[in-house]
Amino acid sequence: MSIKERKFDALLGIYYKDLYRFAYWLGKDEHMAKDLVQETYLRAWKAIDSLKDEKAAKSWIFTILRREFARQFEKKKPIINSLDDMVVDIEDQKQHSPDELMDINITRQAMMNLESKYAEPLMLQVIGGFSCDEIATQLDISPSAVMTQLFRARKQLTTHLNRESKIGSRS
Amino acid sequence: MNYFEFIKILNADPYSQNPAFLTAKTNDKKCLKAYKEAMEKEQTIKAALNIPVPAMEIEHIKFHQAQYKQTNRSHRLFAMAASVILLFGASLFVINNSQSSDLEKFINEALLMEPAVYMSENEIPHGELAPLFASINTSLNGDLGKVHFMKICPTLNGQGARMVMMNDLNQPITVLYMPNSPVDEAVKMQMDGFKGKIIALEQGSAAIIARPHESTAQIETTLLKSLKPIQ
Repeated sequence: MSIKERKFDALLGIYYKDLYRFAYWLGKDEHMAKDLVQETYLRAWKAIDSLKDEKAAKSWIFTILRREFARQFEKKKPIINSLDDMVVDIEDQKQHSPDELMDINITRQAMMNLESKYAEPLMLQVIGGFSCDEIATQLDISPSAVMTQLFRARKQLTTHLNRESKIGSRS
Repeated sequence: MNYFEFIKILNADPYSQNPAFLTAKTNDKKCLKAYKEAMEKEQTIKAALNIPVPAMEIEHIKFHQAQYKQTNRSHRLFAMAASVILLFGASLFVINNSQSSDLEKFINEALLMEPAVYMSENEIPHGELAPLFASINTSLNGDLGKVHFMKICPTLNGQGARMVMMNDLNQPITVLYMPNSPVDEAVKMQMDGFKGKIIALEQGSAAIIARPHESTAQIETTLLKSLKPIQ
């Protein structure tokens, strides 16, 4: 196996799940996410020789995905599916109580409606594990703007969760 | 850092590594309490974003990469296929407004989204195609013929496959297989400089796109015979 192939396999092994989740919440569509991740890895393979610093690999491949999404989104806006289409993860059911599962589903629904300017920094932080400064570099905005967007994202999700939980407990 | 400064950071970035934030979290009981509450909410957000990931996609990615590796050795074939599809894309652009059905519109859009594809030099072995088809609930019955490109892709209804297949004269023909989009009967697509046909299969349909002089009859027969639903 060549060095290039080893590098590629490492990228696939380490980041595949995070990239898929990031792609899913970017496009809010399972099929688009699969396609995006495939295209991202193909582009990564073509350009892998340009990746000199392995510490930069994560932000490099997330950037490829974001650009590929922008390219596809420019041509065709995705149809936003309802969460009913999402496969219910059996592991979710094993790991969480019914109340927790309800909160998770409410939060997922809120994520579906969250504006991308708030959702994207949140996903980069929670799924990608990037710091605020790294997110600022990726999105080409100031760290204070990232903080504001993260604050608003969390506030919207929490407000939605509190409101829906109250409705749920009343009924 | 006072409590209010702590909360301001906590509400935006509970993962902050700011030394003053970390000190406040450890040393100030009020801050620690707020941190614990925030992290409970954070666990819900984390769990919500943590959606199930399809394992099969790794195989698709590896397959796609392997095809591209082979392509590098075949500039001639790539150029041929690319020119066919690029021309096709351009011609569709002109007639895009006159489409009669959602399926035709989707086919146009799908091919315009990705007008050029990389073909591998050699035909893809049956053993490598079968698992890809299985992932879209399709079994391969017999020989599908010379497939030089295949990619699992979104279609109008669920996932399908885009392929480049060689006809009996070794001309590259574009095929879009849509297992969840049935048609009652064959539909001829209107095109400028190209011919397109959507054929009904046992499961779903397939669009076959070629230049007018290119023969597609053999490919049509092969698709009808080979692509079957998984029982």
